[in-house]
Amino acid sequence: MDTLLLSRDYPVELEVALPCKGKVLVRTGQAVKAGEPIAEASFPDHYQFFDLVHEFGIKPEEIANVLQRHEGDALNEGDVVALKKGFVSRYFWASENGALILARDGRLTLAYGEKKMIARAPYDGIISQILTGKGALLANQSMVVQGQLLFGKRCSGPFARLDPEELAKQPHRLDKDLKGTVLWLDGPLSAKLWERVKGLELAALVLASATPELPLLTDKLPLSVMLMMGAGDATLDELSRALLMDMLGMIVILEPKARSGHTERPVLFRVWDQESHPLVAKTLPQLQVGSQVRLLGKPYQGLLAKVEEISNTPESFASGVLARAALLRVDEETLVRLPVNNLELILS
Amino acid sequence: MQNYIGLEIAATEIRAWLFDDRAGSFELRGYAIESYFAKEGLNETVQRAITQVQPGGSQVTAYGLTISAGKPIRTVLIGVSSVYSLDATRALAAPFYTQIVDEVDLQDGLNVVEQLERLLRTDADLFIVAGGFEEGSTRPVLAALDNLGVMLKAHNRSVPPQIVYVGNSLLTAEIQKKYGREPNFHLGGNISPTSHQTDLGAGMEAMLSAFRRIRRAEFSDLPSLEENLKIQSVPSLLAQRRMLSFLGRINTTQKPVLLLSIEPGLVSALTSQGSEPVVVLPQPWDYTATVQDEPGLFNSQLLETNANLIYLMNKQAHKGFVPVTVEDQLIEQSWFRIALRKCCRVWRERGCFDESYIPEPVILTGSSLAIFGKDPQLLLAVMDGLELHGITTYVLDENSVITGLGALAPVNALLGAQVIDSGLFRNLGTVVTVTSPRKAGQSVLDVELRHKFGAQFETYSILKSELRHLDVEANTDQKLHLLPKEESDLGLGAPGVGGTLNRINLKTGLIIDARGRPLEMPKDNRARAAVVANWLSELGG
Repeated sequence: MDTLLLSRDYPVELEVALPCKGKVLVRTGQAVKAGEPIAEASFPDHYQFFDLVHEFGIKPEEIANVLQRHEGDALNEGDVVALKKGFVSRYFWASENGALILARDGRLTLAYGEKKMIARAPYDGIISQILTGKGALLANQSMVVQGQLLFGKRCSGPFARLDPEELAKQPHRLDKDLKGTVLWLDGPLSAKLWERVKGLELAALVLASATPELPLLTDKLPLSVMLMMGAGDATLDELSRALLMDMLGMIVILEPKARSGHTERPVLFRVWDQESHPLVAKTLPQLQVGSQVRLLGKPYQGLLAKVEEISNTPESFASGVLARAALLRVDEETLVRLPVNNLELILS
Repeated sequence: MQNYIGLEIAATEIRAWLFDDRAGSFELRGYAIESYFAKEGLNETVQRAITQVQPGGSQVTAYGLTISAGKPIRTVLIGVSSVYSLDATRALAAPFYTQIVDEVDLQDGLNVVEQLERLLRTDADLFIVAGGFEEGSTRPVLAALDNLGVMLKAHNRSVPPQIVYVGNSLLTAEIQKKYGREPNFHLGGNISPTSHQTDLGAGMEAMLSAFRRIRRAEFSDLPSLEENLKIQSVPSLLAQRRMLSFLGRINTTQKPVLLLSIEPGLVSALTSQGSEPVVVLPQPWDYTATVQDEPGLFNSQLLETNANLIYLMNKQAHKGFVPVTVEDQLIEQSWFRIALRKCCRVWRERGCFDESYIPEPVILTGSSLAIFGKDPQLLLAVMDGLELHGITTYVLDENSVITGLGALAPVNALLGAQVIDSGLFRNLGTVVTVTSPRKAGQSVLDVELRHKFGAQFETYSILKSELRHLDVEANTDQKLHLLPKEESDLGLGAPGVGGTLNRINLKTGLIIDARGRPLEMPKDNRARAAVVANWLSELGG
């Protein structure tokens, strides 16, 4: 069962980490700004290989006599690494600053230069957890609405809302006002209107849902598109709607892979005012009687409900599939029974 | 009484099987599943699974532990010949949940620095080096090993890359001297000692050692779990491979045995024949569909345009979603066939699953099969996905026991044999596939049910394009005679060659598939849905 962030102050955590082992530059509780380094790692920029036996024309037992430096030694440009004395002496020296990283059977490998890899905070936040040797979790604790699908990449901008009809009727000269915004089109988007939306230079488009008839799900997109309820023809639940309404006019961030419960899913959250709202950790709730959930799958897609009962043994459904089920109260008159896997546990 | 518990750490659950010999020989006594998330509380979850499967808590003789959870292991194969050593290395890597990110042929003319930079770019978790035949060339292998030594020093990955050497044993002493103390280096025997010989067994211990180091770094609780259970984990696919090797050897039909294991994210075909090595063919399994995939090709009802695509897109966001409505389920089942056909195309490109490949039986296992509410639905989906030729029996390993048995095989060799003998697999049906150049509606095969002394009870005429289910029983007293038309092929050696069946039980009956290869289906959506629905109805689904 997945979890769903629909909250006014739930921590949204993003893993900011190096793909390799490095040095973590932050500490837990530290406030960081967008672009600040979280962790860094260094690598040699390039390598040089030298075969002493072959190049100096020596026997393997002579290697120790000619080798002037040891494996692991740091080298400065011009340092002699190997020297064969004789009528015509032969030298092998470091062409740049670097290190002798391997010297086996006369085969020398030198590493030169330094390449840095840095993991930076994509936006402001507080370090909630150190990932030893890799990076950290960057937390924001703010108004957050989790979506189902995000096509495109991380982005941010002022959050605005328009009815599709309003946009269709709006004179083109006003389009410039929408440039750089995260626009919530509150209604179904037609193929014709999509053509106009593509030219608005939005930071992102937020929709309740969309069907594959719209090329937006297959096109190479000029902007990020977030589907709050997923693909198809689903309407926004009232909790998500209320939160989105409250965020209008504020700067929001669309994050493709925020940590939530046991999963990483896209979220839309308001930029956090850290000074007025300190970071407060929350424990992850378990699904239990009384839990508030959102339902997945037709015909209940997007309905909110309360758990009345959870079965311990698998039950059979219309499809013949056996699954552990929960009895859910949608409203005073409606009770439905669904597999636990088809619920999203709301974290609020 | 002896109690054995097999355990599997799967992606989202822990599975536990209890076997004991209280009835005189070993039988499956219990099966339990515990949900498990994100590598947290592994020990506690395993303990809950053990308690669930064995509520009394009596003494456990031994545990077996397998693991299928974890990220695909990014793997680079290095060999001195793309034909010999790389082929063998691919086969060695297959049961270890590897994702091959590069293959380096040491005869490709790269200089040492170019090779090193290429290796570094792969950011791989595992490098497998196969160094040619015994007495073969050693210089390129040594140079590659030196480069890997540089990698171990230069690359500061949070989990160091593991290096497995399974090549020419001429180098063993030298490698031992160089890397003997390096915990990330694993030395095995030569898996390709000659051009005609492959010995994957020689590399297994080294691969296991590397696999365990990777998974122990990934699952921090795994070392303590292994210590508590006094057992080391093995990949689940390797456990299945062990069992399939055994089944291949005891199979009296002289045909290969096929195990199709379908788990979230991964489908694996394992095939074994006699004493030949088991071939393992893993392939990613996902819900990423495009219009070109025709995800609604096998819908048994006419659905709204794009209903399949919409469902599959949402399934990508919620992979654990269970199909509860009939519509959801038929979308899932249509996609199952499409995804399986995609896998088969890849396997065929690798030279497996051609027309002459006729396994007996096909064993189906894996948690992803739970989307099928009824056996006929599963049988038809697998038949449509695999599109096999000839005569084959399909059986279901309902509780994925084959993995548990494979985990315990090294601690009790009798256990697997006895449990399988106890009637573990559920028979889904025997399918006779008949191919013929004839047109739809023309007779391609006659089936006669006759008493052993010749009296004829029943005759069935099978028409081209038909899928027929015959409610018949064949045993020592009455046999089914398959009488194909001259050009009809039953996979029995040549067109027109027939045969006799004497082991068909009444519960499953006999299924005759004359639908053609590849399956011939109407282009029109409505007509095609009706045809698929008819097939399903014929099988009782």
